[in-house]
Amino acid sequence: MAIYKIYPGIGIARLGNSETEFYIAPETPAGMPIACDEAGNPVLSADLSGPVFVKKFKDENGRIKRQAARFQVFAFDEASPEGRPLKLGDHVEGGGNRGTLVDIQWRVYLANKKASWYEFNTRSGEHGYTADHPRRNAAEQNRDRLIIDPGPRSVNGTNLRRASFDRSGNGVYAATFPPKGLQPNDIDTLGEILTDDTGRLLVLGGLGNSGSEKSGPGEPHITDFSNNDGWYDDISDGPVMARLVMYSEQVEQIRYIDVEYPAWVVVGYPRFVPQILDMVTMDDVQYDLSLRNFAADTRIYGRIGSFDNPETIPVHDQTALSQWLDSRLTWNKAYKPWFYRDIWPILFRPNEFLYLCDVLAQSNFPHDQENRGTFDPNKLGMTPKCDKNKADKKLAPEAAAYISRDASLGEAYTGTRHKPDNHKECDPYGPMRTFIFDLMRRSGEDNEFRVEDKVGSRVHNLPLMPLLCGDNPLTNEVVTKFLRLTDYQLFILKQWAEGYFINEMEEGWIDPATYPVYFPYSSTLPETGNGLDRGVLSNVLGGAFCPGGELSWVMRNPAIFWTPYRIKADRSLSDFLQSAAQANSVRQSTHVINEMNFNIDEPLSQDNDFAAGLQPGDLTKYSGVPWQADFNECTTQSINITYADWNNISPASGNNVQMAREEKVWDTLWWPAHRPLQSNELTGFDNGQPTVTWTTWSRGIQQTNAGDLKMVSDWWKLGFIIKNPYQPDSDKVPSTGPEDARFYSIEREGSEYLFSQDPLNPNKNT
Amino acid sequence: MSEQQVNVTRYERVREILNEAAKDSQADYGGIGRFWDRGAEQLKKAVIYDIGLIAPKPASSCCGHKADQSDCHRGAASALIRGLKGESPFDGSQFPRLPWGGIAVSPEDIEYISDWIDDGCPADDHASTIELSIQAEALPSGLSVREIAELNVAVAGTRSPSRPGELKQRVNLDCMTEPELKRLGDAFRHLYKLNKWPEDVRSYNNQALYHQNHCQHGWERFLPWHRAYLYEFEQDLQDYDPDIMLPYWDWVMPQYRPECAQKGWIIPKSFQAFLTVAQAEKLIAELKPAPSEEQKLAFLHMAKHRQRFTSQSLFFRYVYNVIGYRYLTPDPQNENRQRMIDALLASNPFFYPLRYPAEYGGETINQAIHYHYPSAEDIRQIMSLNNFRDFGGGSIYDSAFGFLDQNPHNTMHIWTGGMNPDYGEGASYDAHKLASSSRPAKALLGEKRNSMVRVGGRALHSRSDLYSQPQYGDMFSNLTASYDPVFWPIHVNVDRIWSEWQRLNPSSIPTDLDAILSPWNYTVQDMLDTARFGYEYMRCSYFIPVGLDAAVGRIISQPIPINEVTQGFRKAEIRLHWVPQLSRSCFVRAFLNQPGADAQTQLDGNPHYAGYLSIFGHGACYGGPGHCDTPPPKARDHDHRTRSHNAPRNHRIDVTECAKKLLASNVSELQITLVVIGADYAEDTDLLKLEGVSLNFLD
Repeated sequence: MAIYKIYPGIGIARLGNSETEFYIAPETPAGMPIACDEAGNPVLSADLSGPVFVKKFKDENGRIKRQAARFQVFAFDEASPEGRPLKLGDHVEGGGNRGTLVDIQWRVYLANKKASWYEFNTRSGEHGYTADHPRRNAAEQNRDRLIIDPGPRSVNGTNLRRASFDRSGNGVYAATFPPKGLQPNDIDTLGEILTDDTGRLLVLGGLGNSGSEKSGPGEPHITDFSNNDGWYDDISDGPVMARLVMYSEQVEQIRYIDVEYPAWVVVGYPRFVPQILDMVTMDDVQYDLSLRNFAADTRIYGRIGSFDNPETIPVHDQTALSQWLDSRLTWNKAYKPWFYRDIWPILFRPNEFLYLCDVLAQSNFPHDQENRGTFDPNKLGMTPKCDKNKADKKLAPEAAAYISRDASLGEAYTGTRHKPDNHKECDPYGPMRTFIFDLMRRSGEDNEFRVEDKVGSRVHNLPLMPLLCGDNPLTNEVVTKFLRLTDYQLFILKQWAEGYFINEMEEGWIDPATYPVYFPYSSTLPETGNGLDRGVLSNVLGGAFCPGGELSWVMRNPAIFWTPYRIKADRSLSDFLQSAAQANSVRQSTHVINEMNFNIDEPLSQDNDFAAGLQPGDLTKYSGVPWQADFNECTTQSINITYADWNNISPASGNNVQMAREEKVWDTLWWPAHRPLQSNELTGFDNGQPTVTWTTWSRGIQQTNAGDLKMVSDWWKLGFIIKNPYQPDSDKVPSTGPEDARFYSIEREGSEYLFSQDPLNPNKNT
Repeated sequence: MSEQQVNVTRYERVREILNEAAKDSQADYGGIGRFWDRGAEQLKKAVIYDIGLIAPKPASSCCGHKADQSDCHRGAASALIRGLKGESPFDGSQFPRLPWGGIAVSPEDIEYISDWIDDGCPADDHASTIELSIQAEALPSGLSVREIAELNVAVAGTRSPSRPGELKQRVNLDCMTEPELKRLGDAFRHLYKLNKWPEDVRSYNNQALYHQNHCQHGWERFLPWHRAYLYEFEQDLQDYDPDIMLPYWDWVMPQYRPECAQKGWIIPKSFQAFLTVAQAEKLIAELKPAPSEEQKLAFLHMAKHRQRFTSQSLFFRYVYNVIGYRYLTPDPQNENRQRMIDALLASNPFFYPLRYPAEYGGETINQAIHYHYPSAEDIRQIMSLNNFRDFGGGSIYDSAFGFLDQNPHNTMHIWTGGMNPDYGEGASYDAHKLASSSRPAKALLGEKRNSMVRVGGRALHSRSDLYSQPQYGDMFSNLTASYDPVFWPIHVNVDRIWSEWQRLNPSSIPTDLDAILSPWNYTVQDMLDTARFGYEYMRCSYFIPVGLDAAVGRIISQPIPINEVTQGFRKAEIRLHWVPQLSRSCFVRAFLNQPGADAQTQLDGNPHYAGYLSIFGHGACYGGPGHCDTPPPKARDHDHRTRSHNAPRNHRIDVTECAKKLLASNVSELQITLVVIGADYAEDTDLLKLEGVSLNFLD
C-alpha cells in the first residue's frame, strides 16, 4: 500500500522586492539557491546533469529576487520504503482507488498574525502566556482586522497554475488586509503560488513591504526591536496540502486522493550569507527534538539498557511515547560519531564568522584551522592509536570518570579535572580534543560567561563556547544569556573528546585527496524526503530565539509537531474544503478545484489551539514586527555578566559603588551568518582577479530606532556575501583569515554592475 | 563444488571470500586491519570498535546439549554476518556495510560464512556434510485420554448465555450455521408479519421508513446515524428473540472474488433465491398448467440440492430455459411468476425480489457505473486514512463525503441493487431473446442513485410491490434500500470497519459531537463507543457448555471443525465464561489438538501449547454462612451498591499463534484441552467451576 507525503515538511520561502524574478530555496546545507525560469522550472546545466545555482541575487532593477519554497510529493510503498519523488504518469492508489497520476492539486493558506499576537518579551510565553501578558495593539477592539488573512488558494499543474495571496480574496473570499495608506509601504499581497511543469509547487512570499497605519507628526516611527503598534509586515506562514488526481483505468474515471498530511511553508527575510551556516541551525534543533521527544533514533537516544536491541516507538502511539518519555532515557555511550560527517561540521562553523564581523576578523584568530591552530582537523580527527585493548580500557566510558562532566545526561556537575593517564604516545591529540570540549557550554550553563572552577587547568577563566547571545540576554525573567549547542551536539562532541569516534579517512570511507574538508557539507541534492527536510532547515537559524531569525522558540515545542519535521496542522483550515471522496462522488472535473469558502464560520483565531493544530500565521506571529527592526538590531549585544542570574542590575539604587565597580559586560555577537556586521566587499577586478575592501556591511543604517526605520526602506539595497568564485579550490585548504577574501559581498546597491557571472571570463558581465 | 575447492579448508574459503570483496581497500577497522587474514582463532576474537565480530558460543544448556554442537543461530547473531548483510549497526548509521571500501559479498557466500560460524568457526575442517542426530520420538503420555469425557460444542444456534455486562457478538454472516440463520430468519419474518398493522412501529416497513425519512449520507453523521439505526433495529429483533444479533457481510472475503466480483458469490448464499422442498411441492401444485412429470422432478431436484440464484431473473430464466416450464413471462400480472415469487419468499426470508445484484445490462459494474467492487486492498487503504473527515465524512453536508461512505458503501448499494434485466416492454425469459429495454445514461447511476428509484405509489413489501418490475433494485436508493434485508449485513459491516478504524485512531472523531441523530435522542457523541450498545464484532464463535455444578480439573472439547471461511482470522481466543471466585490460586494451561496434555506436558517447543492464564485465589471464607456466596447474576431492583467482588468473571487466553500454526499445517479441526494446575504445579481437579468455554475467532 502506498502513502504519499509532501516534502520538505517545512519549506522556506524568502521575501524579495522583485515582483517577477525568483529562485528556488537551497536544499543542501550552505547550498546556493537553485536558478529557475519564470514558471519555476529549474535551469539545467549545459550537460543536463543537474540544476544551475543562482549567481545573481537581484533583478535588472537591483531588486532582490524572491526565494520560492518548493514542495513535491514523495511516494512510499513496498518498492521504495525510503520514498521516491512522485511523477506525473506514475501509478497511484488510495482510498480504495488506483490509477495513473494525471495532475496534482495544491492548496496553500498563508496569513500573518503578528499584529494581533502577544508582545514579544524574551522567553515569556514559551510555556504558555500568563493572562496579563500584553497583546500587540492592545487598544484595538476589532482584533480580527489585525490579522492579514488573504484566504486559501489552490493551483494545479494544468489549467490553473498560478494564484496570488492578494487583497482580492480570489473573487470569493472576504480577505482581511491592513488599510491602504500604510507608511512607508502598503501591503497588498502575502505572495503567490505556482506549479512547475512537473507538478511541483512553488510558494513565493511577500515583497518585503512593511508599514505603519499611524499618521501624524513623527509617524511612522519605530520604538522597539520587536513590538511596534500600528505596524504590519508581509511575512507569513501556513499549511500546504496536495491532492493527487488519477485516472482510474479500472472504472474509466478520474479519482482523487489526498496526501497523508499537510506540509508547512514559512516566509523568512533574505539569506544574505547563503553559504555560511549558523552555529546552531534549525535542523540541529529539530534533529535534537526528534531524538529526545519523538524517539526518532533509539540507537542513539533511548532507554537505559535498550541499545543492544533498540526499540521502535510509533510516533503516533501517545501511550507508548509517553511511557518512553517517562522512562530513564540516555545517550548511547557506545555510539561512535563520524569525524567528518558529524563532528567537524560543528567545529568548522565558528571560524567562518571571521568573514562576517570585525570581532573575529581583526582581533584574534581563535578557531584557526591551519596546522598550528587549535582547530586543525588533521589533529582533531586523529583517533587514539594505542594498543586497542589497552586504550579502550582507558577510554571506555565506564572508565572515563576523569572526563570532567557528563553533558549527555544533562549534568551540570563540574569538578576539578584530574589529568588522565598519559597516553601521549598513542593519543597525542587527546588533550586538544578535551580542551575544546571542556570549553563547551553545557546544559545549565547558559548564563555562565567562563569556566570559573578549574583552577590549575588551562581552561580556567576562559569563556565558554559558543560565545553568542542566548535566548534572553535582555531581561531578568528566565535569563538565558548565551547560546549553547543542542544536547545531541554536546553528546557527540563528548564521545569525540573521549576518543570514541571514527575517522572516515582512516577507514578509507572518504578520499582525502578529494574530500572538501573546508566545506564539510553534502552538496549532493537530497534524494529522500528526510534529506530534503534536513537540507532545507539547515539554512534556517536555530538559535538564539530572541525572537530569532525566520522562526522562534515555538519550534522547540513538541506540541506543535505531528511528526518530527512536520507541523501539526488544523485540518479544517489546511485541507481542501471539498473532501477527496466528495470529488470522486460528484465527478469533479480535473480542471476545476472546487474551493467553496462559505463554510468557514470563524475568523482565524487570536489564540493557540495546539490540540487542534496550527493555523496559518501561527509560526511567524512570534517574531518581531516589522521584521526589519529586529533584523537591524541583531548585530551585537552588551551582555551584563556581573551576575549569572541577572541581566539588569541597578548599582545606582542605593549608590552601590562597589557593585558599579565590579560591573562587567561582554559585547556578544547574535548570529553573524544571518545578520553580518562587516565583510569584504567586491570593489572591482584587477588582472582578472577580484579586488575587495573590508567594510561595514550595512553601513549607513545605524543601530537605533531611526536606523530600524531606515532598514524598512533599505533592506533590499544590502549586498549578498558569497564564496569567492575565483578560488574554486578553497574547499580543500584552510582559511588564513579575512585577507584571503574567501567570502565577499556583491550586488550592494550601486555596485550591481560589478557582478561577474563567470570567473573565467571576468569581463563578461551580465 | 569444484575439485579445487575441496582441497581448501572452510576457513580458507571464508578468507578468500572476504579478500575478494575487500579488494584493495586500506580500511583500518579501528586499528586491527584485515581481521580475517590472521587465522580462524584470531577471527573468532576479532573486535572492531568494541563489537565482537563472531557471536560468543551459546552456553551449554542444562539438558546436556553438547556445547560444540552446531548452533543455527550463532552465525546470524554474529556482527560479521550482520555487517556483510548491511544490517544495523552496519547500515550506514554507525558503520557502513562490511567489508569497508570493498564490494558487497553475495548472499550465498554470506550464508557459507554464517554456516561456518554456526559450526564453531573450525580452523581446519573441510566442507562436509553434517550428520544429523536422530532424535527419539517423544513418548506419549501415560494417561489414558479415553477416561475423560470430551465435551461437545453447544447445539448449533445456541449462544453462550448472556450475563450482565457481557458484550454480545455480531458475527460473520458467512460463518453462521443453518440453525443460527433460521433463528435470525424467523425474527425477520416476525417483523414482516407486523406490516399488516401500518401503525405498529415495530413492523419491518416502519423500521425501513426510518431510513427513508432520516438517513444521513455524504458527511460525518453517516457512521453514527447508521450505528444507531442498526442498534435500534437489532433491539426490535431482540424483542422477538433476545439472542438475535445482526451479522455482518464481509464483502472482501475470497469467495466474493473482489477482483472479478461478477464471477464470485455476488451476494451471501444465505440471501440468494432458492426453494425448499416443501415450497417446491406446494408450488408444483399451484402452477397452471401443471408442469410435466419431468419438470416436477426438476423442480424438486433443484429444491433438494438447494440450487441458488442471485436474483429472481436468473431463477426464472432457469425455470424457463433449463427446466423448460414456459408458462412464465416477466409480466407482473403473470400468475405463475407470482406463485414462484411467493415460494421463493417463503423458502428464504432473506430473499428479496427487487434485487438484481451484479446485473447491469450485460456490462460489469466498472463499465456501467464506473465504480468497482471493493477489495481487501481497498479497505486497507481506507483503514490507513488518518482523519475522520477522509474516513467517515466531514462536518459539511454538501462537500465532505468520507471514503468509507462514498466508495465501498455506495458501491455495495449499487452492487446489490443492480438493474432489472426484465424491465420494460417486451421483456422475456427466453434465452434466445435479447433484453430489449433501452438503457438510460448509466454513467450517472453512481451519483444519482437516489433519484433513480421510484417510490411514489408503491406499497412496499406488499405482494403487488414484490411482483413488480421496476427499473432498478431497491438497494439503489436511500429511500428504499432498507426494505431489502441485505441492507443490514452490508451496513453492519460498514459499522464493523468503523469500529476497527476507531481502534487504530482513537482520537479521530466527528466535529459536531452534540448533533442529534433524529428520529432518536442519541447524539453523535453517544455513538462513539460500541460497548455502550452491548456488542462486539467476531468472525465466529463456538461455545462449549460445561456447567457450574461441579469442579472440573481438565476440560477437553470434541474436535471443532474449522471451515475455510473461518480461517484468515486476526485473533483467536479461548474464553472461560462465568468463573466463580476460586478459593485457591491456579494456572489454566491451554493446548490445542493435544487431548492427552496434563500438568507434565512439555511447554517449550510444543506446537500444541497455546497459552495460559493465572487466576488469583480468594482464600478461605472468614464470614458466616452465605458470606462468600456467588451473588445473583442480576442485582435486585434498587440495589445500587457496587458490583460484588464475588461476582463470577470471564477469562481469556490468546491462542492466535498456536491456532494459526496448526491450521496452516493442514489441520481442519481444533480440539481444546484446558488443564488446571495448582500452586504446587500439580493438577488441581477440585477447584475450577465455570459455565462454559468458547473458542472465538476475531477479524
